Amino acid sequence: MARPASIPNLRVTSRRTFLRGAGGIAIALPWLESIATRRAHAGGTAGNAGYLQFIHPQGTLVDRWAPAAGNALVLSQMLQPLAGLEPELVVVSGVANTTSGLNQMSNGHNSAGRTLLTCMPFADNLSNGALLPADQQVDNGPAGGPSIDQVLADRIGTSTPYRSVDFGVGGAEVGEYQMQWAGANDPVTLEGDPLLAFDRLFSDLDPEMPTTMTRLRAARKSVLDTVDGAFGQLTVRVSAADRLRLEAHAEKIRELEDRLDNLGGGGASCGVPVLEVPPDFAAWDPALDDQAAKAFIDMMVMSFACDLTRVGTLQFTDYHDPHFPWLGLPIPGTYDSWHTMIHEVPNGGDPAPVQGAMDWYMLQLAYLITSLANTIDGPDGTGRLLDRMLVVSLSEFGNGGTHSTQQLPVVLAGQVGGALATGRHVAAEGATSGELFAGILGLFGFEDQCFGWAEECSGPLGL
Amino acid sequence: MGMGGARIIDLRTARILGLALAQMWLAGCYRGADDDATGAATGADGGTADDDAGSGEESGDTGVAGCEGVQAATAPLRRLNDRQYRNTVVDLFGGVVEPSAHFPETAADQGYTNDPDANGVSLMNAEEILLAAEGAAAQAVDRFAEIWTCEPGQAESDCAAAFIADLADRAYRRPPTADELAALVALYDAHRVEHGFTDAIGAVIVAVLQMPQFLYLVEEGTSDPELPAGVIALRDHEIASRLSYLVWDTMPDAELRAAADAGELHTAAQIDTQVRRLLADRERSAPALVRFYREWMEVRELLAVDKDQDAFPQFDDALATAMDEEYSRFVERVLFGETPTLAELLTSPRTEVDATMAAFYGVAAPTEGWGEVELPADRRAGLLTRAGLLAEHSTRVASSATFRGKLVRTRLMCDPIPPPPPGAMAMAPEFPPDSTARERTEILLQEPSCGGCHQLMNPIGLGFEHYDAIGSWRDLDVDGGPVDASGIVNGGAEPLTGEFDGLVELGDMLAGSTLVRDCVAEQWTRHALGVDEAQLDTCTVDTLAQRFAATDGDLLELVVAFTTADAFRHRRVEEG
Repeated sequence: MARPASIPNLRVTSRRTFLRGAGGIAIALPWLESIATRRAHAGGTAGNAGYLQFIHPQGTLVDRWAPAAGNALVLSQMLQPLAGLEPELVVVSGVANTTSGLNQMSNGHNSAGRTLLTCMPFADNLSNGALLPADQQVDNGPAGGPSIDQVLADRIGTSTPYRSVDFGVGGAEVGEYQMQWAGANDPVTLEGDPLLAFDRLFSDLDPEMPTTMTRLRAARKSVLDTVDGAFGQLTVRVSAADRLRLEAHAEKIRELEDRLDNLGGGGASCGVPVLEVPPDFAAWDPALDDQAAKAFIDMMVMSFACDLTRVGTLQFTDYHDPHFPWLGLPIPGTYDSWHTMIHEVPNGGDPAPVQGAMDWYMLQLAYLITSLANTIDGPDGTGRLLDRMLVVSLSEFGNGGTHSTQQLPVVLAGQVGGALATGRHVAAEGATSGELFAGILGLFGFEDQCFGWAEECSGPLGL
Repeated sequence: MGMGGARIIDLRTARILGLALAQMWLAGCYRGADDDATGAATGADGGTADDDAGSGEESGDTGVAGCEGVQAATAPLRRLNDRQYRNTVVDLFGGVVEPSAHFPETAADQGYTNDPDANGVSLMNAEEILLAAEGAAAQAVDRFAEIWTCEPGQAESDCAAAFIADLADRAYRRPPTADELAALVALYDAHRVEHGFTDAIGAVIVAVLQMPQFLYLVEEGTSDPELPAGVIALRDHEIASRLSYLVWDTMPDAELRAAADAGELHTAAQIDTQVRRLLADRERSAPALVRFYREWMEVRELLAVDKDQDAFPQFDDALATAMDEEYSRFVERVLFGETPTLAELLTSPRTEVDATMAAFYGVAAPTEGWGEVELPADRRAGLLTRAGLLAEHSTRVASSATFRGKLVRTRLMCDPIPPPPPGAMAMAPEFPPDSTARERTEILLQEPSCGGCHQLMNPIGLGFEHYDAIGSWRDLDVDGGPVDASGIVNGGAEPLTGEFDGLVELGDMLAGSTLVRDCVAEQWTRHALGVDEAQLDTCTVDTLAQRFAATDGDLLELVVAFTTADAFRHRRVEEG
C-alpha cells in the first residue's frame, strides 16, 4: 500500500479523553445515561443475531488443517491457535467453491476472490443468467451477484445505523480481491484506517465530541434530503449514461438518510472503544498491521455490542506481499513476495514460515472470538455477545499454492442465538460454498435452498 | 556461464520469430485471448495538418482522413478524484478550511485516476463524503469571520442569502438556478430557527459539498440542430471546469470564471488564451501535469519495505521518497524548461537532485535543497532512466524484464498485452535461484503458453539490465558477469524496431518514433477524458496526434492542442 500523498491530519480529539487505569491499562468509558436514553432501542439486543466474516487470504496448509474424521472436534495443527475455544467452534471440512472455476479465463486469484462470498461467476461471463462459453469470457470483472454478508444485511440489518461494518487490515485497496458486493457491479468498500473508522463509527457516542460537529450532525436528515432533491432534479437533465451514475450515487444517499432513524441499542457493554494506536497512526505502513488488526477487532466487537450493525467483515487485504515483521519470520525470505512463497510450498518450499504467518491469522481469530465471548450482552447483562453471533472464518483458497478452491478452511463460532450447536466437526465433503451459505442463512431463520449459482446446488448444508 | 554474450536464441532467429509472433499477437498472444486492441494509433504519420494549431478554426475540419466535420469525444461523467476534491475545498474557502481525511481515496490501481471507474460511490463512500463535508463545514462555521463578512447594517437573512448565492455559484462552478438557490435557502431557514445563523450556514455548506453539481463535472451542454446527432456543445462554464481540472486539478479561478460568465470561453481562440495562462502558472499547473506523467508511467511512491532490506539496505524510506520526488522534478524541469518536448523527456540527462539523489546518481550534491545537474549521459538520459521508475518496475529483489518491457509496450507503444492465460502462476516455469533476468527471459520464451506474449515485452525489458531492483546502475549482473543490456523490439516500426543496446539507445529510438508520439497523444486523451481504450474516439486521438507531430512533440502544446480541438468542446452522448 503506497503512502498517501499529504493526507491532512484528521481532527479527532475524543480519543485523548479516554481514561486509563493504573499501569496504562485502558478502560472503556462508562455508558452515559443520557446517551443511553437517547439511543434506547425497543426490545434491546437479546436474540438479535449478528453475522461476522473473518477473511484471511491465500488459504491454508491443507494437509495440516484437515480435521480428524468424526464429529468430535480435535483441533488440527493449523487450528492450534484456537486451543481452549473448542466449545465455541464448529469446524466445517470439505467445502469447495465450485463457482470459481466457472470463470475460465481468470488468473486464479480474481475469480477465487470474487466468487468466494457471492458464489456467482463474473457478471460479464453471464448472459441472461446463462454462463458464456470460455471463448466469450473475460478474465476479470464485477461479481455476478451480491455477497452473503450483503444479503444478510438486507434481511437482518435494516434497523441498525450501519448496513454493515467492513474493515480492511492492511488498507482498503483490495484490487482483484474485491470480495463483497452489494449487488452486481456494486462493490462494498472497506475502511482501511483505524482512526477514520473510529471517527466514523464512534465519535458521536463520545460526549467529548466538539460541539460544532455535534450540532452539524443533528442536521443530517434535512441536509441529505436537500442533496437527494438536487440529484433528483439533475438526473432528468443529463444523458442516459450520466443518469445511471448519478442515480447509483443518489441511491446511497437515500440509504444513508433512511438509516438516520436507526439509533442502535445501548448494549450492556457498549461504550467508546479504546484504541491503542497513537493519534498519528500510519495506517498505510504495513509494518503496523498487527496494531491495525487489534484496533479493528476491538472496534468490530464494539460495533456489535452497541448494535451499530448486525453484519460485519474483517478482511486481511494484503494478500500479495505482507511481511509480518512483528513475527520475526523470514518472510518473504529469498522469495520475491509472500505470494511467490505460498506458490513455492507445493514445489518443496519450506512451510514453516508460511505456517507461522497463518498461525498469526488464527491468533487474530482467537482474539476476536475471545473478545466476543467476554463481552457482556443481553437485557439483563448476563449474556455473552458471542452467543447471538455467527463468526465465519474463511479463505478464498484451500491450498493457496495451487490456487485450489477445494477444501476451504471454514471455521464457525457462536451459537447464533441457539440455532447452532457448537463444539463439533462437520464433515461436509462434496458441499459447495453456496450450500454452506444456504445453510448459514438457515441458522438465521431463512429457508433458502441455495445461495448463488443454483446449478451446482443440492440444498443447504446442514449445520 | 557468466559471460552475458551467449544467448540461446540468436538475434536473427529472434527477430524473425518476433515478427511472426507479433502477427500472432494480432489474434491474441495465445489461443483464447480477446482481440480487443482498439485505439492504438498506428501509422499516423504526422504529415501535413490543414488546420493551424490554435488559430481559432471553428469549422472542425481536422485534415485527418475520415474525420470531417465537428468532432466530439465520448466522455463519461466524471467525479472529482481525491486530489481534486482536496484542492477544491482549499480554494473554495480561500485556504481557511483544511480538507477532511475522510473523503474517499481514489483507487490508484485502476488505470488513470480521472477514470469514473476509479471514483465510484459505495455506501461507505457516500458516508465518507458526508463526513468530509461536515468536517469542512465545522471549520468554516468556527472560522466564519475569515470567510465572509456581512455588509454593515445588512439584515441577517440577506447576508445569509448573499453568502449562499456566492457559495453555490463558486461551488457549482456556474450561476445556480433559482430552484437550486431556493433549496439551499430553505435548508438555511429551517435551521436558523433552532440553531442560529452560523450553524444554519454550516448545514448549507454540508449540503453543498455533497451536491452532484459540486462533486461531478456535469456536462449538460447545449444541443444544436447543426451538430451531428448525439453530439452536444459544452457550455462555457463546463469548458471552464474541464480546463481548470485538467491543467490545475482544481476549480476555475476568478479570471476563468469571468470569461465563462461573459460567454467568452467557447471558441478555440478564447480557450487558447486561457489554457496558456493556466499552463504558465507553474505552481498550479506543474502538480496537475506531473500527475499525468506519474500515472502514465505507473510510478507510485515506494516504501523501504517494498525492497529486500538485506539485498538493498540503502533503500530506506528517505531514499524512496527522494527518488519519487526526483521523478516529479525531472518531469517538471522538462515541461517548464527550454525544451518541453517528448524527445527531451525521453533523452535528457538533466534533472534536479538533492543530497540523497546526488549520492545515488554519483554526482556532486547541491549546496542546499534541490538543484539542477547534468547526469552522466551514458547512464541517465530520459524518463526511463529515473530511479523511481526503475524501482517501481522491478520486483522486491531483482530487475524485471517483464515489468519494464510491459511498460514500454503498453504505455509507450500503446500495444495492449492480454492478461496471462488462466492458471499462469500455477504453471509458471521454475527459474533457477539467482538467475539473471536474461536467463529467466530465455526460459519464458521457450514456454509455448508464455512465449507469445512475453516475446513482446521481455526482449525490450532486457535493455534495462544495467539498472537493478532499486534503479542503481550496475556494470555486473547478479551472476558476477558483465551486464548484457542488448534488447530487441519485436514488431514496432522504424526507428523503434529491432535491436538496441541499453536505455540511452532505446530512449533515442523512442524519441524518434511516430508510434510513440501518437501513443502519448492517446494516453493523454485517456487521462484527460477519463476513458479506457474501448471508449476512445479514433478521430479525437488522431487529430491530437497530428497536431502533436506538427509541434515536434511539444508537451505543453499538446495540452493546448487538446483543449482547442473540437472534441474538447463537444461531447458525444447516448441518444435518449
